[in-house]
Amino acid sequence: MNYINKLKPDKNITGLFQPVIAIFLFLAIFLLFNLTWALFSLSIVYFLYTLLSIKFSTKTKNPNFLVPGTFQLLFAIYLLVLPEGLVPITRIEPRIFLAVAVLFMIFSAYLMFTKKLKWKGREIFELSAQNVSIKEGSFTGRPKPITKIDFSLQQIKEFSQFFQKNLFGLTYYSDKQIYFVPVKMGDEYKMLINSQSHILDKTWVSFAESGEIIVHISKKDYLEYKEDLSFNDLCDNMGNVFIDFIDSYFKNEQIRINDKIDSVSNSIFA
Amino acid sequence: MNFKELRLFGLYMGKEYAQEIFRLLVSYKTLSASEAASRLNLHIRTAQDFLEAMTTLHILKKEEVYEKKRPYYRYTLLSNSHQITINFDQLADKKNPDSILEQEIKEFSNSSAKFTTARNGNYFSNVTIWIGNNRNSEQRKINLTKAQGQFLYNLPFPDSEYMSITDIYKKAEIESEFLNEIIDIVTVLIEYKVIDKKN
Repeated sequence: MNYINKLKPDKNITGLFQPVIAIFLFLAIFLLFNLTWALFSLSIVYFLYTLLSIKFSTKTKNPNFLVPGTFQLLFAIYLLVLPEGLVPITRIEPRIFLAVAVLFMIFSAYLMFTKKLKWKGREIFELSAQNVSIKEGSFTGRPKPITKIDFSLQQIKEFSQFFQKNLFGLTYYSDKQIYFVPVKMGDEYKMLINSQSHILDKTWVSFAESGEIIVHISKKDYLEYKEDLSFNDLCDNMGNVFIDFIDSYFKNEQIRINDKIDSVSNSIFA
Repeated sequence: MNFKELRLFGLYMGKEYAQEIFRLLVSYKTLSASEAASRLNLHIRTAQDFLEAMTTLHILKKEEVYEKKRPYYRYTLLSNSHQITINFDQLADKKNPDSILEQEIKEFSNSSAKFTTARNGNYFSNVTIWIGNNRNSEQRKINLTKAQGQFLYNLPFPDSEYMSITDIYKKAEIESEFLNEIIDIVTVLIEYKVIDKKN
């Protein structure tokens, strides 16, 4: 089935921040002080990136984040132990760290190209918009109760772990409800620091203890579509996307979920 | 006594001279406005307004009498004790409730109303609306009862089909004892163009 992309092209450049910040900081410190301090500041930046990778890995239970995390850590150590670095070493060749770091960097690139490190929230929005017609003036800030399903909260919680691990988004739990928040590439950093109270303004799909599914699409995300789509149908569709995913998951057909995602997927960076 | 009469009654009974005028009515049996005014050091118009209001409320009766061919009124208590009954049911909507419940509604397109979800459940705790035009608009926040909040949570979207009030409250699983408060909030929100009523 050929899907028509209904979202505007992704112009998010958050992914470039990491290398840009690193280069900028290195040059600034180098010009103000010297190469040693510039290398040291760059190693600090990469240590921080390592911590971010570990944080993503622990939050999503996805071990793939540890690959770029390892590259970042080894590179940070290399910058420290270089002859020009702050803590130069002579007993072992510093370039060993670089060599292993490059291996992990190549592995990270492989994971990126195979979309194993790609946040797939954008694809959920695309799937939700398929077969939805244009209807101006249909937006509302209210959540929409969709339907009730016959799964327990415990089962939904199990699915939520799959949802996070495969980077469809993040999940938040309260006593009687589980919130699924689709995360697009570039938004993951902001989402990582958001507490549960802040997610209510974002796009979410919740599952209550009663089995009720409720969908909320934020205005910001609604305006990411090229046109004003029928908001009622969009919410219904998003609810149905999640119901299909849960259904496939419990039929042990997780591959079908990834097939659907891949069918609307474009760039590895969007 | 209806609410309008009660308001009038309360207004005049709250006057500091009210008790004295009634004391005079009990003592003198009949009283004119000028006698009440001179006895209590009031303006004659003040005394007359009081006595006329009590006559309207069927607490006094008045009789036209003549003095040197000039007519004036004398006021007498209809009874030395008076019981007041307030019927609050009169305040309820007089329209046929069945016809209200069959009204089909949905959210108004581009209504600008902001609904706030309650912390501990899937219903709204309040709705904030803008009243007026642009520069002169003011914000009004209406706190909702749980039943009202549940009802509005299930209100059809602007691009949905209309649904009757009955269907919405059944979908929201609200008890029928809360219908009057739901009808009340629907009426208000129709007036503020948050809810669109099908013609």
